[in-house]
Amino acid sequence: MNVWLDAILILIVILGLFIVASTRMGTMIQIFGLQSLFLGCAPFFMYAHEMELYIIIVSLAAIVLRAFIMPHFLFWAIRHVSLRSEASPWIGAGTTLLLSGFAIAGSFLLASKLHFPVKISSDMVIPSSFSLLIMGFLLLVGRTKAISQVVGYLVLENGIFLFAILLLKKMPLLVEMGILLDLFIAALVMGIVVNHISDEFNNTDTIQLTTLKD
Amino acid sequence: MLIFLVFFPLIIGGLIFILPGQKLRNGMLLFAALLHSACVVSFWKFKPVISINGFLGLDALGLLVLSVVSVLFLMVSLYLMGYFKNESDLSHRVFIGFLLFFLAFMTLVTLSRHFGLLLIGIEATTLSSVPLINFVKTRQSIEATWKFLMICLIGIALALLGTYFLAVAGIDNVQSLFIDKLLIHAKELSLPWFKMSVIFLLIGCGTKMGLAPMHTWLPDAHSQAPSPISALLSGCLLNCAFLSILRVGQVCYAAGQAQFFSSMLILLGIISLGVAYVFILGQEDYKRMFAYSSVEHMGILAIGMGLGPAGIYGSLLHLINNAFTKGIAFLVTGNLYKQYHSKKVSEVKGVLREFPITGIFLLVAFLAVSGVPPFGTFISELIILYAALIGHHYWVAFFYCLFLALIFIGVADIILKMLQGTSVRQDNSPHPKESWSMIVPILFLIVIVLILGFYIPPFLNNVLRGAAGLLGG
Repeated sequence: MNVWLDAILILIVILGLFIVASTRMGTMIQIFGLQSLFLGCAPFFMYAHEMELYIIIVSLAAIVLRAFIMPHFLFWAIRHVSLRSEASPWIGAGTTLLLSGFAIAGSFLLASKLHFPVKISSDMVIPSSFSLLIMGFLLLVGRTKAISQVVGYLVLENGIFLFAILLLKKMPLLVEMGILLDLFIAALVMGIVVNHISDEFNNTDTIQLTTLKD
Repeated sequence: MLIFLVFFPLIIGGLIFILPGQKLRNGMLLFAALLHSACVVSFWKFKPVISINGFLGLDALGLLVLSVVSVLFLMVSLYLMGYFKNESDLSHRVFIGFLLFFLAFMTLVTLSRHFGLLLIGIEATTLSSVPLINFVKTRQSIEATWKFLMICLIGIALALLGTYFLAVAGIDNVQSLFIDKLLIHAKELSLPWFKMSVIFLLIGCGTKMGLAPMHTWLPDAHSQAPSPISALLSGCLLNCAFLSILRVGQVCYAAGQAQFFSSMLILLGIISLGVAYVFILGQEDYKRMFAYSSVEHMGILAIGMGLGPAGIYGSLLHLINNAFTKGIAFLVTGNLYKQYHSKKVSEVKGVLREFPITGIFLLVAFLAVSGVPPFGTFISELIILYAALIGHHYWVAFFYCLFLALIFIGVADIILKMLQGTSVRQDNSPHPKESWSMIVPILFLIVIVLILGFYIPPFLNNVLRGAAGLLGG
């Protein structure tokens, strides 16, 4: 089963690279949805021999919210936006891709140094999670469109969720669901604010958000 | 009982959205704030039992922050009675509703006994304050909201990662993130993962608390939000974030890593003081000035927390003083904005002559914020200085005094310019009245801060000592 888990993790990281390399908002959101779908499936492979109802609930909730509802909502948020690609990002797609490559290598290096106290089902979980985190960060700082930054945040959250899968059995259901609900509301609120930005400024470029400074 | 305290503001907040009439909704807000305070007062007398499987509980630290939140919220709701006139129906609904959600989630933060639940609470406070900050919906306020939302969410995401690291640190012995369990088994935590988790939690919660260099959202959000909301952000929300850092501190102390924790806090604190000084000097927007003053005081709290037993006591006392002082300061800016329709220092002149009551309040706010005797802030800042000196942290004491003095001069320059002189108002239209509901709450807060400057009541002292004891003070 570990082979399948590794394959899914590799797929998740590659989809992360795909998001980082694309500059079209629609593509980014769709690929994010796909990545979340695989992410939600990962627990089924990781805990294949010790399945519990609780794990199924969390994974299914994650799939429904992250892979279907959130992307739909993000599309809603940009429905009035005509200019749907990143025109002049702070860090270009090529550079981000290169940096992401380094980030993945760095994550593997770092994870090999970190000693995880108990045995885990795959060595690739932690490095993949760190890679997603860094890719999310790169999107957050490198892009100027509000919606790209939202996707960056969500990719970062995907990285954290991947790490959380390791601890799925230790976390109470209440907390797991609370975190998921918070993330969902966060995406909702971000979508609404993006909508406000696009109404007020006629597009979603955060470059214009520079009136407040000292 | 505890679960009731979290849920009833949520329920009333939900009801607000269907209630007709501004008067009725205002009444419900006041009722909720009063009920909340009444419950909290009863907790001082009768210790509540732990509820929902140990997820909610109240210790001395939680009680302290909860009381501050409750009192300040009550005062702000009183203030709001006179603040909103002629608001459109929908935005009033949204505002009051989310205000109550905000209260519920802050209560959750103070009550939670599980690190996961704590972070859920912190994130929920961020999300529920978004519609409050973006109330006026101008370009500037949207910008401030966006910055607030993104920076705080990323901060909380990092803190969440820190929480998972904490779970990993205890994966083969503690197996839980309940604070009480962690405290018992703190010595068995795997150290590298634990240290990593402390760093991430400090950075994450420090972002929410407004410690420099992660403070960048704070001045924008505080200056663009309606003034009563700025008061709540500064007096309640930042303290809730500080509480979550204190929870981390509790575990550090129990694990014998207090040194590691306090050195990081002192560093962040000194940086915050420095940053606050740089940006207060010559600040053109008086709300931004008070916002940077919040950064300064969060720095003072952090420094005090890193200075050993006396410092911890002083820091907790300062938490109370600072919350009420900031309440005064931002509510006064609300009055000023109503009267001058400007946040620019250069457009506000001769406050003392034109609006004597607001003028005197502004003067008091300035003195209390700067820690001038006889206000409570003076005592707590003095205790922290004393802690630095007896702990032989001479460099810390030096920078602490230097920056406080420089900031005092910077703030004095700005406030005195506003107080003196003659008005620049051209038209001779009659002054808007200073309504009672915008005066009484400020007066009440001033009285509290004044009393704390002379006398710390024994019941408060007991709780302060108990709370400091939890942190090794």
